[in-house]
Amino acid sequence: MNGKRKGTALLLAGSLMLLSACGNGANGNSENGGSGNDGSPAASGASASASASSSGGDSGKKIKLVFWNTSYPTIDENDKTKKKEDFYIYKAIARYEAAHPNVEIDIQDIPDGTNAMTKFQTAGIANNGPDVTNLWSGNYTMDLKAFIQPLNSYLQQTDIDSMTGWNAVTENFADSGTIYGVPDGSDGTIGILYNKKLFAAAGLDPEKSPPTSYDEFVAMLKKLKDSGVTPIGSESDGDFVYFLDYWFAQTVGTSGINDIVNGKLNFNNPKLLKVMQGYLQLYKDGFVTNDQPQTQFYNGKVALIFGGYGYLNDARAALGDDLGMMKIPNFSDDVVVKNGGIGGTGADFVVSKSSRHPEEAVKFILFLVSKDEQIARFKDGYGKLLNIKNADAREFADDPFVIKQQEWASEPSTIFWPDNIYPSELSDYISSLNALVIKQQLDPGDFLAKLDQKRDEINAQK
Amino acid sequence: MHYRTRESLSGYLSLLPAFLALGAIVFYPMVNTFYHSFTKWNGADSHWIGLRNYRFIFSNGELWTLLRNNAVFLLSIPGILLLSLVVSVLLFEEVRGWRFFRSLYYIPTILSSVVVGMLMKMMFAPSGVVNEMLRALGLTDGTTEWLSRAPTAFLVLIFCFYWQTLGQGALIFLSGLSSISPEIYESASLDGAGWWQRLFRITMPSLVPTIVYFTVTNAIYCFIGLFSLVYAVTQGGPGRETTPIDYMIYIKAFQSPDQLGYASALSIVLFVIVLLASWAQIRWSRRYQE
Repeated sequence: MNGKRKGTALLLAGSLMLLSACGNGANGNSENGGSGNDGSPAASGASASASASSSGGDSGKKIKLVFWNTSYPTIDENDKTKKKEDFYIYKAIARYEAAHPNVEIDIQDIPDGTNAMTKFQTAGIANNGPDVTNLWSGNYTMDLKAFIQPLNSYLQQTDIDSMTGWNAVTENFADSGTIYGVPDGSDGTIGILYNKKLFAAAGLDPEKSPPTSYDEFVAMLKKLKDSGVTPIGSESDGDFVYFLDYWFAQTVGTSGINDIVNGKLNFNNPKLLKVMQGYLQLYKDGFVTNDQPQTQFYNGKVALIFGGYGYLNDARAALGDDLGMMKIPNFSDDVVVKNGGIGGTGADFVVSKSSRHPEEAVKFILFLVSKDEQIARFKDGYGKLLNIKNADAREFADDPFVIKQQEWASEPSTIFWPDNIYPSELSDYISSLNALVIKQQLDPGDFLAKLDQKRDEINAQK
Repeated sequence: MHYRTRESLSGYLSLLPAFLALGAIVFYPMVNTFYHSFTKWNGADSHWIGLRNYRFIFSNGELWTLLRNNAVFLLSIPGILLLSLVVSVLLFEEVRGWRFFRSLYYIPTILSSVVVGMLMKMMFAPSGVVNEMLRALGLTDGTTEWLSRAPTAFLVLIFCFYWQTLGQGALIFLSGLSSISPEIYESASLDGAGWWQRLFRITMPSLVPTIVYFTVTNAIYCFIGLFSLVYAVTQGGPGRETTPIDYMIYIKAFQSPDQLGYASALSIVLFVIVLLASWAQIRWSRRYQE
């Protein structure tokens, strides 16, 4: 009986230890997590007594910053033998660590896009997020601000003055206010990438006479179709973000997009309905394929795709001098923004509230977005342009399209990504419903009405 | 201490670790979810909003679409039940090549839903092997966009569900078949009962408990286990046409800001639906068994 009692006591003690271990785990890893609940630097510092000082690397103790990498390439699909150390981000980290011997950067690759945000959110809830990560900017970042450190106190005015894109990381997209991230490069401006050879075969030369209206665009697509190629390659959601959103945004203007978000203007209005009908007509006329658009474009089976700087390297490698680039034509003459495109700073760096070393984290971020580093990563083939003020692409690029992209990005007619302005739930909803519109399973008017309903629901739940 | 008291105490103490683990892993999250279903919660802060989340769920019309989608999967259960039964009977009868087929049918079961989903997504892509095959056979022009329309997207999802469940179903029914005494078959044969008579008069009635088990577990699976498959194959699309409730809970919880409370309320609704569906099924099956 004695043995039985001892055994039971051991079992009980074991289970309690197990449970207490689980409880500790919820507060984050021992190295990184466990900041104060309010996430303030002061609270973080106070709770971090067991670890290195929160004031930075001056204390002599080594600081470890966990960096969740969502965007820097660390695998080369065409060269699997390429070592990690040969990728830009590893070289940049090595440079930073050499200059800051008391700082160690622990880089961890995680998936990009909405998956990154899901992971960041769950880590935030568990209070074991990374020190630094890279997210989509605008409302994608603002939606997670409960888990992100405000950065105003860590940034100098000179930092802010040297870069563009701060509205995308500032609360309410304001010129000043609480800053939740550091803008990361520029996506350039989304335009049309086309195959010159296929256009020439159809008797078209957009360089000399680019389409400037919907009717001219349709006439161009018709000629392409008549020549035997599929004119447009588009993703399965109908390229809402790259293409249709531009016609939406140029029709109502940036202030109109804000009005839509706030419920002052409806999606379901005559102007946007006309845009939807025109857009859908492209599908009805058989101008568009949704099957592997990029691959088909690179293989010369599709005449054009919608894309910005991010696609340029691959497109240039596939088509060489046959690659052409132009802006998306205006939908009509009475649009608010003409001859522009969608683009800008679509991503940012953030510091999680779990970080014990926010000051060091910001220093690391500012190193990554410094002009020298942005140029270094550009030269490494990374899919972003610079967001350094007055950056002249001619200093570091030879490709005329890259130079043009950098110029387009700084034009006032480039509209900041509307999907980063809509609430992220609405953006997801738009893309999923648009897939029904292009398959003619949802009427354009009903589509717009559903968007208003969803927008109203989101606003009502705020 | 009295011997019986000590025995009882030791019994309860032995159970305690399991109860503590269950409490931490199951009951605490359930209670927590129930509480947060009455709050607006962003994961960091929550505040009480009463029944607002539930009012939204029942008034915005989304729930009925989600339930319809779950119902489509639910209605597909008789198909996989029949298939599993046929396969298990054939394996039990040791038809030619049964050993090979036994392994073949079971392989998809050991693959994760995501692997199955990605595989199917590639197979049913516009330029995938299914379209190629149909075109080669002259059945279609090979341009069917399987995942772009709700009916065909459902077909693909149900095909995945069947493909992954068949091995497990056959295994469950094989174990049910093995539990039937061979002497019953022998005496039935001596009495002149043919194969079909043995199947419908002995095998099927004996398998009723197994059929009930299979149906109940798969009905529950259709409500709470489809997430990974839907995520990998259609992501709930086109539109929200193939989004079941569990996938919507994910969307609300992790892809919509400040909606963790709403997702919690939706989880509670799902919990009640599954509870009621399982209770009804078990009651019905008991009556049938009697």
